[in-house]
Amino acid sequence: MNLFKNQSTARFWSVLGLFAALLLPWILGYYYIQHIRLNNKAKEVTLIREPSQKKQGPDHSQYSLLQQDFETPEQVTEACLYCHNTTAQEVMQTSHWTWSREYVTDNGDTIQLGKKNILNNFCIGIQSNEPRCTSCHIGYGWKDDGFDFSQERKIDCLVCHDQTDTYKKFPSGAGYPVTEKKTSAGEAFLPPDYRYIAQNIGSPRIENCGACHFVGGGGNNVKHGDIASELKDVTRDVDVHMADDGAGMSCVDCHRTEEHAISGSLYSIASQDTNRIGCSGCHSANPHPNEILNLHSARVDCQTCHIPEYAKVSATKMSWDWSTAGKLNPDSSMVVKKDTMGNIIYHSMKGDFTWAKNVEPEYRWFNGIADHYVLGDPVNPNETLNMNPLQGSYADKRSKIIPVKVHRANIIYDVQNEYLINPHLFGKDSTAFWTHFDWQKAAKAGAEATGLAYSGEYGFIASEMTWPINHMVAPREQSLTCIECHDSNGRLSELTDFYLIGRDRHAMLDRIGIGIILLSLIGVTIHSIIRILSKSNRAQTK
Amino acid sequence: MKRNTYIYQAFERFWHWSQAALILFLMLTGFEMHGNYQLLGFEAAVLWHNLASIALIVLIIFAIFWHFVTGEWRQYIPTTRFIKAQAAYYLTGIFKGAPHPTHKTVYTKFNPLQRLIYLGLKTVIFPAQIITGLIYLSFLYPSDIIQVESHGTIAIIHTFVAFLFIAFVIAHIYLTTTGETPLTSIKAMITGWESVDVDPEQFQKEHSVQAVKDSSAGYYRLNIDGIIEDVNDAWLKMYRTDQAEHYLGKPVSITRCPTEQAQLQNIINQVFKGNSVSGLKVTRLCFDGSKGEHVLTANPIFDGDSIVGMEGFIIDLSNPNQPS
Ligand code: HEM
Repeated sequence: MNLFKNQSTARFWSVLGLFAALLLPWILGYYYIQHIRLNNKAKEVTLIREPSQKKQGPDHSQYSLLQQDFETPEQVTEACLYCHNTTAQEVMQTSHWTWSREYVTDNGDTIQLGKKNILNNFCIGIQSNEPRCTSCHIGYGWKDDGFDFSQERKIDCLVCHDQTDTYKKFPSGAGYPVTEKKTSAGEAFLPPDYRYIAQNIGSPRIENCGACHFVGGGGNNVKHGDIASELKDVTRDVDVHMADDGAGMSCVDCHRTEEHAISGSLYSIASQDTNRIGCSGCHSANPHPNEILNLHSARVDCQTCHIPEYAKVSATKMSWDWSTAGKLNPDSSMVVKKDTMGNIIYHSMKGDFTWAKNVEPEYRWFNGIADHYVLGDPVNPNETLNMNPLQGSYADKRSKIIPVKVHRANIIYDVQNEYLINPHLFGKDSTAFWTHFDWQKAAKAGAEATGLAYSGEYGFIASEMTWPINHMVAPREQSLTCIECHDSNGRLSELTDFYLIGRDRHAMLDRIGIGIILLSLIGVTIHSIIRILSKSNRAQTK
Repeated sequence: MKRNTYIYQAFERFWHWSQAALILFLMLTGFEMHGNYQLLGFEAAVLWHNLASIALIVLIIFAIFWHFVTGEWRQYIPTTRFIKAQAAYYLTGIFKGAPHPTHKTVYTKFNPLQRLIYLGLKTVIFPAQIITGLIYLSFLYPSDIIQVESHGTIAIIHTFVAFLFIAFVIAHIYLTTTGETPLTSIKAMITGWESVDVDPEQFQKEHSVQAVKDSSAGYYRLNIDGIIEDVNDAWLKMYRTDQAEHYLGKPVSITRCPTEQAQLQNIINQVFKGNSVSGLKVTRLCFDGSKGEHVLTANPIFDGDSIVGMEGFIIDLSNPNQPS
C-alpha cells in the first residue's frame, strides 16, 4: 500500500514539474514582450542636434542711415546693401531670386527650370501673367519677361526680414507694395512705413515665410495642404514642432540658412536630390525602442507614419476643373459658389474645385529625384498627365515611401500639337482669360508668350501633381499603427511592386491551404462518426 | 502481455508539449500577421512570432541532440512492414473493433504510419518552415552576410507550410484518440506512463532480478572458494551494516563465530557435492559483534556440469516484523 502511494505522489510531482517547466518560458516570454518590448515606448524625444538659437542682432533703429523717410522700397534695399555689401550677391544665387534651377531633361540636356517657366496644374504658368504671380517674388517689378535679374536694388529685403507685420506686397503688384491705399479681395493694403519697418528688421519668422508659402495657389493652404497660416498658432495635435505647447519652432529652425541659401526643396519644382532636409537633421537614426520600427526607416520615410493626415485646420484644394471656367451670370457678373465651410467650389475665372480637410495622404516611392513636365513636352490626351513624376520604386534601394498630396486637375492643352498651353490669364489687355473669358484668345496669347505654336484647337487634359507632405507632424500617439499599412485595404494598397506582409498573399495557395485543412477536418469528422456508430452497433450485437 | 511502462522520458514530454504550444502559438500569431484576424495586435504578433520562432529553434536543437544521444532517432526509421496492415486498420479494422495490427513497446513507440508521418514532419515540414522563417528574418534584419532581395516567394512558401502544419495538428490530435481509450495517449504523454506490450520472457527476467533486489529475505552468493560474491540489501541489514564492502570478496567464514564454523563447513560441503539445503536454523555473527538467528536455504550454482558456487536466501528469526 505504502509503495503504491509513494509511486503516485512521485508521478504527481513529476507531472507538476513538467507543467512548471512548460509554463516558465511562457511567463518569461510574456514578461519580456509586455514589459520590455511593448511597454518600452519612447517617453521622450532624444535629439542629436538642438533647434538653432536665435541670435540677437544689432539694434537697427540706432543706424542713422535708416532714420530717413524712404520714398520707394528700392531706397530701403540700397540702405541695407550699404552695410550688407556682399549680401545681394548671395541672395541673387538663391532660387528665391532666380525662380529657376538646373534641370536635366529626358534627353540629357541641362536646362534652367523653375517657377519662372515651369507649369503646374493650379494657375498653370507665370509667363504672360507675371504681375500677379511675382507678388511672391523677393524682388520689385518683375512685370513681364523683361525683368533684369542683375539689379541689386530690386531685391526685396523686407518681405523676409520685416518684424512689424505691416509690410505687405500687393497681390497683383509685380512684387511691389502699394503706394496708395488699395483693396484686393476685400483686404485693405496701405503704403508701408518704410522707416519704421527698416528700423525693426530681424531674422525671418513664421509670418514672413508664410506670407508667400502659406498662400501658394492664391489662398490659404490651397497648394501644399501641410503648410498653412494656422501654423502660426497651433496645438500639438496639428504640428508638434511649431505648436506653442510643442517644440515652439519656427520655419528656419529646420530650414537652416547659410548666406541666404535656405535648405529644403519642394519637388513640385525641385528635381535634384540636393539641399534636402530630413528628420535625421535633429532626430537620431534609431529613435524607436522597437527595433523593427527602426528597420522600417530603410525604406519608409519618417513622415509616412508620423503625418497620418494633413490639412488639419483649413481645407486644401484637391482637384480643379478648368474646363468649366468662364460661365457667367445672365447679367455678365461672375458666378461664385461656396461650400458650407466657405471654400469656393466654383468661380467663373477658374472653374470647379474640390476641397478636403483632414486628408489621408497618398503614398509614393521616392529616391529624391523628380521629373517635370517641361513646356513643349508631348502629352497623351488618353492618359492622366503626371506633371512631376517622383522617381523611385521598391527595386531602387535608395527609394523610400513618402506621403504625398496629389492635386488632380483638368488643364488646357493644344489638341493638335499635343502639348500643354500656358494660358494668358491675368491682365487688363484684350486677351487675358480672367478679363474676357475667351479660351481661344488666352491660349493664343499664352502660347506666343512661351514661344510655342498654337494650332487653334484647345482641349482639357487630366493631370496630377504630387506634393510631398512634410509638415503637420502628429504627436506620437497619433502616428500610424502597423495594421494601417499591413492590411489588404491599408494605406499602401497602391504601392504594389513588392510583397507586404498582411496585405499580400498568394490567393491560389491560400485557397489550396484552406482546402487541405477542410479536407482533414472532414476526414476526421467522418472517421469519428463511423467509429462512434460502429462501436454502438457492436455493443448492441454483443 | 501489457505492462504499465515508463515510455516517455521527462525531456521528451517537455519537448513535445513545448513544441506543441509553440507551434499553436506560431500559427496564431502567424495568421494574424497574414491578415486573417486581429487578436494580439499586429505589432505584438510580430514580436511574439519572432520570439517564439527563436524559442522553437532552440528547443529543436536540444531535441535533435537528445534523439541522437538516447538513440531514440531510431524510432523514426521508416519501415514498410505492416504499413498496409496499419492503413487497413485505420480504414476498416478500427470500426470493427479489430486489435491494433502492430504493438506499441518501448522500442517501437510508433506504428509504421506514424513513423512515416513524423519522419516527413521532421525532415521536410519543419526544415522548410524554419529555413523560410530564417530567411524571412534575415530579410527583416539585413546583414552583410545574407542579403535577401525580395521575400515574396519565401513568405508564400512559409504561409503554405503553415497551412500544412494546421492540417497535421488536426490529424495528429484526432489520431491520439484511437488508443485504448480516447484519452490514453494524451495521458501517456503527460505522465510518461502507458500500458504497453512487453516481451513476457524479457519481463520475467527483469522482474526476477528486481524481486531478488527488493526481497526482504536476504540473498547471498559464494564462489567455489567460499568467497562472498554478492549479497542484497536485506542480507546486509541482518548483518547490521549497510556497506557491502565489509563482506564482498571476503571468505564466508567471517559470518560465524568460531563455534559455528564446523556447521558452516558442513553445509558448504553438502552443497558442493550437489545437494540443496533448506529450513536450517543457524546463528550468525553480525558486523558489530552481536549475534542473530535465521533460517537459510543453500543450493549449488552450475556452469554446465560443474559446480561453480553456492547461493541462497536467509530469513531472520531474531526480531520478526509484524505487518503494519
Ligand atoms: C522557427 C520557425 C519560424 C520562424 C523563424 C518564423 C519566422 C517568421 C517571420 C520572420 C515571419 C514574418 C513576419 C514578421 O515577423 O515580420 C513569419 C510569418 C509567418 N509565419 Fe512564421 N516562423 C516560424 C514558424 C512558423 C510556424 C510553425 C508557423 C505556423 C504553423 C508560422 C506561420 C507564419 C505565418 C502564417 C506567417 C505570415 C506570413 C505572411 O502572411 O507573409 N511560422 N514567420
